[in-house]
Amino acid sequence: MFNKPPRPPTTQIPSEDPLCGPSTPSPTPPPLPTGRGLRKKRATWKVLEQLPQPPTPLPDRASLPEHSLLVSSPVENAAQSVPSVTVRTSTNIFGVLREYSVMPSQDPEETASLNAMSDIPANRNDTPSRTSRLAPPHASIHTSSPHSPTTRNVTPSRTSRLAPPHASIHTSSPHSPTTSTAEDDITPFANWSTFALINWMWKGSKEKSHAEVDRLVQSVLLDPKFNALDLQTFSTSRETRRFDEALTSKKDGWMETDVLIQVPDGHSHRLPTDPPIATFVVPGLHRCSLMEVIRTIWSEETSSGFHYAPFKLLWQQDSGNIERLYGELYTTDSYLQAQETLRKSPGEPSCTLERVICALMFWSDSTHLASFGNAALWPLYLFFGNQSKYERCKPTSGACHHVAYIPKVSLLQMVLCIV
Amino acid sequence: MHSVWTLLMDEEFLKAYVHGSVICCADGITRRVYPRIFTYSADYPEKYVIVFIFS
Repeated sequence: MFNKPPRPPTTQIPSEDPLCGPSTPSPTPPPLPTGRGLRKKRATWKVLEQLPQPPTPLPDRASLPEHSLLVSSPVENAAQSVPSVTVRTSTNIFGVLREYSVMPSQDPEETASLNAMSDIPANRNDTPSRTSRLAPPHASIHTSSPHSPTTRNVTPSRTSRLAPPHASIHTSSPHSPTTSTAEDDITPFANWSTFALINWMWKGSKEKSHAEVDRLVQSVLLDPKFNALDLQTFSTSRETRRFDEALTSKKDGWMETDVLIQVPDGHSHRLPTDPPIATFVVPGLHRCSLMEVIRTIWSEETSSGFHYAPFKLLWQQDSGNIERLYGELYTTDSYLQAQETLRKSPGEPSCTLERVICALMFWSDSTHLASFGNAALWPLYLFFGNQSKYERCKPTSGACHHVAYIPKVSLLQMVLCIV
Repeated sequence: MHSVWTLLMDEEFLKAYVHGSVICCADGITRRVYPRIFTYSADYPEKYVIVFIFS
């Protein structure tokens, strides 16, 4: 907040000061009470929660003596001294007042509002002032004519520190904001839409990058399907909540089941009359159906490079020697052996389809999710050995399939459960 | 961990393991596919959980 420092009362100014009126004898100050119990206690500013208040307005010109309103030329001023009359405003709640030797022709504090005094946003019901005449929140999507009334009040605040220098339009213009036209307000920009977008970009959060604003314009605002009328009841939190609900309702083949572990408790469980084996329930196993994953991946286009038949990879040296090369799962003896076993096994009756092996390669690794804390996941991944490792190991190939998320169990939990 | 694998090896998987599962592959040819597990990689801390050295 800002308040002008209170000027000393005129009663204490020496009488020879020409700016002040005739001094009055100062009254005798009442004797101040002394002592601890007599001290006057005052509530602090924070207790009172006093809001900053602008200086009180100047008194009405009609109530002042006529000669105090004279505006004399410099020559006349030098030739004769204009009798000065002290113009004093009443005090505001802090006791601050202003005193002029002549009646000023304009009062800069006249339109000051609470918003100009405080960093805290004031009540919206306050009368709009110069400092609150910012573009409304819906201004960036407003695509109507620039002559609409809302475009008249988009002059950036002169107290706005976030606005870049080139956006501080009109601060030195002789026109008052209320009389300026929209064409004046958007001066460096081609049209109001550009101005409103740049105004929005450089105010509020500073996290908006150039690329993101370009993306907003290209993918949203310039889309022919974009209609500003659709957004009249738009709420980001509500739409995000709706999106979350839609995501959580779609399970995508995932199942959540409890894992039952039978724990030895030192008792015999051979006879039917014996007590049942202690069972420990670990909740929260998320898993996919393995066959569902296999069926989905094998019928997708991404599996077009899969090897369905194993082979031996050999290298013939210059000397004629042949050497076996190992590198892929479908060139290993294990695969060849499994295929041979499958070939020898009796097939399904009346089935003439080619019988192939789906080589499953599992991988499991507990993953810490945070640098500090115990948040962790234990996923189970699935790769297909039918795919070349040069394709499979690319991070962008999408060859790693999540099959399960395994819950962790602590020994303490188990002991507590049994006891 | 073994209980988890009991859940993962469900009826459908065991049936496909023995009798195969008919899948129309990406090249348009329908094949009878038999799933086989070839590798099971894990780091040491996970592995000793798997082999019941430590829970």
